Amino acid sequence: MAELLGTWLLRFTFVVILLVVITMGLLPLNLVPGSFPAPDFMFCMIGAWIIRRPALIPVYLVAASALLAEILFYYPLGLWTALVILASELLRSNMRRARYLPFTFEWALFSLSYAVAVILYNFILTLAFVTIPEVRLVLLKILFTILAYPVVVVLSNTVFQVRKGRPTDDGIIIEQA
Amino acid sequence: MEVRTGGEGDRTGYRRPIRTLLVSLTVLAALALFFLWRIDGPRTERIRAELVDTLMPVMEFGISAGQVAAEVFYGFRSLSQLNERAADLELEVERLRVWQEVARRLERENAKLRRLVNLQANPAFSAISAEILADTRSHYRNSVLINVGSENGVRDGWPAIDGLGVFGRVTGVGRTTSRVLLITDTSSRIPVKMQSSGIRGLVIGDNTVNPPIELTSDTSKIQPGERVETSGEGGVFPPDLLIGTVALGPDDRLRVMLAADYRNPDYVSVIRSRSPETIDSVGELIVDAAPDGIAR
Repeated sequence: MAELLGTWLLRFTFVVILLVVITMGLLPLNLVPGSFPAPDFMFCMIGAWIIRRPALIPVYLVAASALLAEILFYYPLGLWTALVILASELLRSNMRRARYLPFTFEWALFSLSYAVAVILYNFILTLAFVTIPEVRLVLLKILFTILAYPVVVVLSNTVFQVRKGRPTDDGIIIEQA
Repeated sequence: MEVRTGGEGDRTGYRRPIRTLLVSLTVLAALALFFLWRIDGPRTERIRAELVDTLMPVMEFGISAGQVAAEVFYGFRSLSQLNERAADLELEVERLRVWQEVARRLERENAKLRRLVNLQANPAFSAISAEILADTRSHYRNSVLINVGSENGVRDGWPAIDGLGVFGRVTGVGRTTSRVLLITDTSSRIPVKMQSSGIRGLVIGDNTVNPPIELTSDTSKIQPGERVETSGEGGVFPPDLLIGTVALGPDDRLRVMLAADYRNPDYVSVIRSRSPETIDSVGELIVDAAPDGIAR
């Protein structure tokens, strides 16, 4: 029972963090177009938590949060959601390996899946005749997101105690969730 | 070592294929949504406007809380520079007193002249004030959300200005919110003219605060510092709204330094403008404006 409560509490925390990330982006403080893109904290959160506690982040939560961001920030609808689901499933299926190998492996896996998703995204948009930003901005966004990932992991580990558990940890949670 | 993984539960044989199927279906649904968005943009954008309309009241709590936090943060930072600012402001007040006197004289003169020519303000040229609710910009689209919508009579295509210059144009109207596409957006094209030389051109958004101007004629006569105004061509923007001043960019292109204050956005006015002719069906591509008596 306590485990089940813990699962839902953490899941709720995850949703609240994503909502805070979205709200920060919506603050109308300065409308001058920036020369540097912000890292994709939502993708960092999804990646970090899925590798640590896959049972916490079901696929519908991933889909819903990506779609919400697409709607509120006026992105082309649907495409980024599809790519985020695919990337998160890739991370989920490699979760076992990421769990027992050093962090460098996990980081490389995360970086690769994000970079491939972003490049595919812009490639498909170009094919569909949608204007995309300068290549420099796209590449910087990938770079900043990759650099932000360890920070998100450290915060998740320390503040929210979302850690790579012992093998049995998840087993117990999953049987009840 | 036997490793148990979660969610994918390998206890029963049939759960994994069902999960794969569900995930694939979700991805396909998202891709179908993208396809729909691409082939019928206007309709999906209208649905999005309605969704944003229902979501905003919820998000507004968080946004106002964030704004208060940001104000406190900036407030602390500027506390140290307060004395310096006070001295600067006193100087500024002295200078403005002189201008106030000039303005009063001009106001009196203006009122007298208006009475002389019996001028009536154009009722079609009125404005609706709005607050900027949310910054919905990304590197793909530069737009903001304002707190007036179809309930307040806002219509698609109307220009928005702040106190200083043209801010953007309404694209997408919900019931209580609407979206304003900024001049800086890459799809923004505004027909303009130089105030003194009358040379016409287009201001083309490029994700910077100093968008380039493409001119239709000789550029050599243009002086940096000249004011750029809307020309009214195309019927979207009314003529003579200030956009900014001309400057020569570092890339030797003529650019506009936008008059609108994008650094401290708060309120904008949406101008009730004449809506351009709408074309609803294929046969009406040529608007029927032939006067009577002309053979057709």
